Amino acid sequence: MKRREFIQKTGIAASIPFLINGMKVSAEATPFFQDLANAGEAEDRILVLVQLIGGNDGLNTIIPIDQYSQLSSLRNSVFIPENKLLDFDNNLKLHPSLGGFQKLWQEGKFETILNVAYPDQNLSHFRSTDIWTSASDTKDFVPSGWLGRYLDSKHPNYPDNYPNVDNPDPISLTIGNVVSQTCQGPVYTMGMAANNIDNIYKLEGSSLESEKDEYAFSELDYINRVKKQTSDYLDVIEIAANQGRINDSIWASNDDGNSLANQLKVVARLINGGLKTKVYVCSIANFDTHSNQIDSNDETSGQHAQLLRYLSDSITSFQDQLKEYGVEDKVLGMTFSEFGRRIMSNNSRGTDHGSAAPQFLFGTAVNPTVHGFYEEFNSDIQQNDNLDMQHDFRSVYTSILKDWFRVPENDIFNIMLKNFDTIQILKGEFTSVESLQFENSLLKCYPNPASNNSTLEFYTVTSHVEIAIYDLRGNKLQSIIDKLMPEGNYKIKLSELSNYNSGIYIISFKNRIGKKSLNLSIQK
Amino acid sequence: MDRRQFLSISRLKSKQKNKLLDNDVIVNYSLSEFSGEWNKSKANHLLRRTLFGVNSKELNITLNDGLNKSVDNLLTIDEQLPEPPVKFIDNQQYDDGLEIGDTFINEPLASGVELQRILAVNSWWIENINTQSYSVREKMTLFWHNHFATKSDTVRVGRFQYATNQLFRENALGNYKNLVTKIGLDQNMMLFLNGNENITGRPNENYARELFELFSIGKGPQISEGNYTNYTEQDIQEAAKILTGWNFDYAGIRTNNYDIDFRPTLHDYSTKKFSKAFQEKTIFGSGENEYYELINMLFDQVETSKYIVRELYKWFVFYEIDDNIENNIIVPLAQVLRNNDFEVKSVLEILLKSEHFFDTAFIGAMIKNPVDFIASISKPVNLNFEPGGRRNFDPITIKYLAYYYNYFNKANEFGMELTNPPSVAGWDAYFQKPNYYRIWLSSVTLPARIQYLNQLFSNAGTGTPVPIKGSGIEILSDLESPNDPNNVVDYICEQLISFEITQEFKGQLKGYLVTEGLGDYTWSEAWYSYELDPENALYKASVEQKLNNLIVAISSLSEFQLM
Repeated sequence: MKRREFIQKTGIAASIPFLINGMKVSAEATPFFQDLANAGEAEDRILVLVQLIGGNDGLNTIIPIDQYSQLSSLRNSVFIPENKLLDFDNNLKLHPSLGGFQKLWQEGKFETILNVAYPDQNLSHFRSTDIWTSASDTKDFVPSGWLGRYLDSKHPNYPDNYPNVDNPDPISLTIGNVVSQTCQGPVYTMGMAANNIDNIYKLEGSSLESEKDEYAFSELDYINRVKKQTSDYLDVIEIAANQGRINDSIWASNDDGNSLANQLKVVARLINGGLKTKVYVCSIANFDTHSNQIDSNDETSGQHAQLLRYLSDSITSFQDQLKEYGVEDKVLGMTFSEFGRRIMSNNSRGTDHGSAAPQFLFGTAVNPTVHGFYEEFNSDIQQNDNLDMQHDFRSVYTSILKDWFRVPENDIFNIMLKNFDTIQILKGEFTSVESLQFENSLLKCYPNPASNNSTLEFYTVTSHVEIAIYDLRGNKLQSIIDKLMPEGNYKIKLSELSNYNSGIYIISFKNRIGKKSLNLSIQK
Repeated sequence: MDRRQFLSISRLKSKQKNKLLDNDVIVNYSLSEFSGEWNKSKANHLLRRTLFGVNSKELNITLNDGLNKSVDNLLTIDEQLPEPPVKFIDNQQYDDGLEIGDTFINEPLASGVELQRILAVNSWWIENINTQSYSVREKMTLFWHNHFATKSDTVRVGRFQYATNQLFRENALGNYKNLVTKIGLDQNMMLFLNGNENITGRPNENYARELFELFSIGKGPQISEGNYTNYTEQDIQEAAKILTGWNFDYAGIRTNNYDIDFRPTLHDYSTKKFSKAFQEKTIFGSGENEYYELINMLFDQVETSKYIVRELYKWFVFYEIDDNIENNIIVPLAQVLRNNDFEVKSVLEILLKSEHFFDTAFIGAMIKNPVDFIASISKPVNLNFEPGGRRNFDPITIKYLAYYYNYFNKANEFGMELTNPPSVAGWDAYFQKPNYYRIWLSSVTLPARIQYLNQLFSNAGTGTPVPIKGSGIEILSDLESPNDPNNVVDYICEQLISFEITQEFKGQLKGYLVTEGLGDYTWSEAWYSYELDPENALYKASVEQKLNNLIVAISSLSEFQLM
């Protein structure tokens, strides 16, 4: 269809404006309109976290090949032969188990941030996990998780009246028995845990006839609500699980006890089954490789090699499965671990607790690059020396909130408890750079103020476009466009404004990138 | 009746959807002695709030003894402390020099072994809870742990964890001022709140802050920067200086001496000046005695007595403390506490006998915490935590592991890891407004609780490495004529649920015992067969299965979450 035709067919002639009675308006923008500008496509986006429990040895995961000789003496008890390493970015190679990651890298779906940590490293697994999940400073104990606070900001009334029409699905899902601390909100746990979705534990037991006017009744009412909510969520999970389809051939390489693959398969199935949950958390344990990190006979096998293969194979299968579903653009994955390991290996063919380590992001949205670099390993490195931090892990979190979830600035501050720099973790079209371009893109209305007619000009990328007129309280008064439109500049005539009373109105524009709006003043 | 069919009968009322509490509840605010009828409902209320779980023997004793004698007995603390925890598993890595059954609590600290020792302390604590006598001692031990919270994840020393726990048990109803004094000189607390790092010139305010905020006077509203009504930042700094010098040899592995003593060289001898909140009191740098002056100063404030009475109220009665309760209950009880030189028993003697405590408003109004929840099923069915049939293992090994996996770890799954509360403030359910006890129940923990009940009464048992199984037959041990299914239903409802249950509903419950379409005699026959030949596995299984299903059905009701 040619553009001219297209515009004619989508003109506003068919829509008849509501007649608005004299209504008091205030000149201030309400929070509703701030939301309009920030929501958009980010609503459909999913984050999948993969926690590497125990502390992953980054230097044996991504190896600086230009310093191979120094490192091979510093870590002689765990080092991998140079000719076995897999090609990766300039001066960097991958552990031989990471064939899957190499494939994703070649496809532009893999990103690495080197040397991620936090100031004043704590070497306790518990404490450091608390810090990574809560996003606190080392010295502070924060009893909620960063995603729990994010979900709390989106769902301030949760769990009252959840699930509901707008939020029928769990707001987060941990694949396991216990909800990840990451999803712990300030008061409530912001989500659910589920393990075996083929054998969901059904909540049974209702309640007695009870007409008590005592406090017990209020408490009973609460319990019955939790019970109902839980059953409702389990029902939608079960429905999604039944509807989701897995292509077993994609996952064939994981059939040797790869528990992470089983978890990611559950996530894939639920996404395919239509679950709208935004956050999934999976985990893989045993990265605490103090000894026997590598096999004594074969440096390319051993505990760490197996874990990395599990990690790489399962994530690759997951990504291929999403590709087959056609939903790659909606899912971003990220790994994290409570710390990395020391630069020097120990005498037990292992490595001890360290600090900075690489984080991996996967998906079509990632900025397919390597952030950061390995510093030079000089000869005076001691047993207790660690890699220096180059990126605060909270910068990565902040970037995800800002670019992937499109969280407004002041909410980000409340969630992250401080301001952090951001990293460009997403490709242009996914980042808020795009949203910045979007903000600056054409949207104007003239004459403005108008009396009977006005012309609206706008630009859109190829996208479904919704344009509507709202009053200052956020009530939608008239739909102007609600169609798929090709990329281009458009000019549309707004007639019949005479039906509106004098006052300020909002023209809201929404496409797949975001929402924005302008004020239209009508004067008689 | 089919179980599923029964459970699908939903009669939820949707009143008060958006209201946290019903404002219309009329409550008796009198602290005078309860004068109403002494019946099963009131006796159960008293026992459920003071014990962990209740069995029929305790209920009958309480009914016979009447209110006064029962409360007096419940407030009697056995001076004999339980024997300490022991090495429970044979493993070269752990306490190699000890035999199974030997206690490790006098052994030097040993990293790598302490996690195992803490596990033993945890199992041992659970055993004490499970085998409690007719006394509030265990409930108060957990109260003090919640009040003076420490984390084993942070301290990681089994013998200190044990010592603190026994300190709470020993002082369960002791002198509050004395206990506050002692907890400041407790190794576990000192390590948890860095008291050992608090030395002159390099003060660490961690303990001083919690002493004010959580352990004694409590934080009031912030009225200006650094001023929390009841104390100021300056008061914390001055108190931290007073606390300098109290220390112990953490690395004293060779001497095996970890006693805390006062070390003059580490003490700040400056003069300490307190704010108007403490009438601008000055404490001179005299050394050791300053600590006791500091405690005196805190206990001279009326607010300190009110703060602990509120904590006790939330533990035993209800979370909501409105102006009426503050004025009519908290303030007078705080006066009682001061008049009795901070003997905690003096408060509970009045509270637990009062009209207020027995007001129907509070009966069944408390959501059980995870330990109360497990106890409320394990106690009536006399759950056995020493499962047999494991010839290769010492019975002590099995017992410790059974308590650990089936009780301690389940409570942990339900959100209450004993010895490891979320923070120094204890569990959120006792302070987090506005939801308080409700925090125990979420879309994760509520199904977990109900799944536990189902597993407990299934053929496979709890599904842990050392599984245990409940038997519904045990709950009938004191019932006079268990051959009558009506009696059985009445009796089990009474033991498990705090509310009256309608005859109609009980009729439905009876469907678990009698064959549909036939009469009560089907149960009576099954019971007689079992009674005449209890060794016959078929007869036993037949009644046990029916009783188990009935117990699961009743305990899966939302009402069972309340006490």
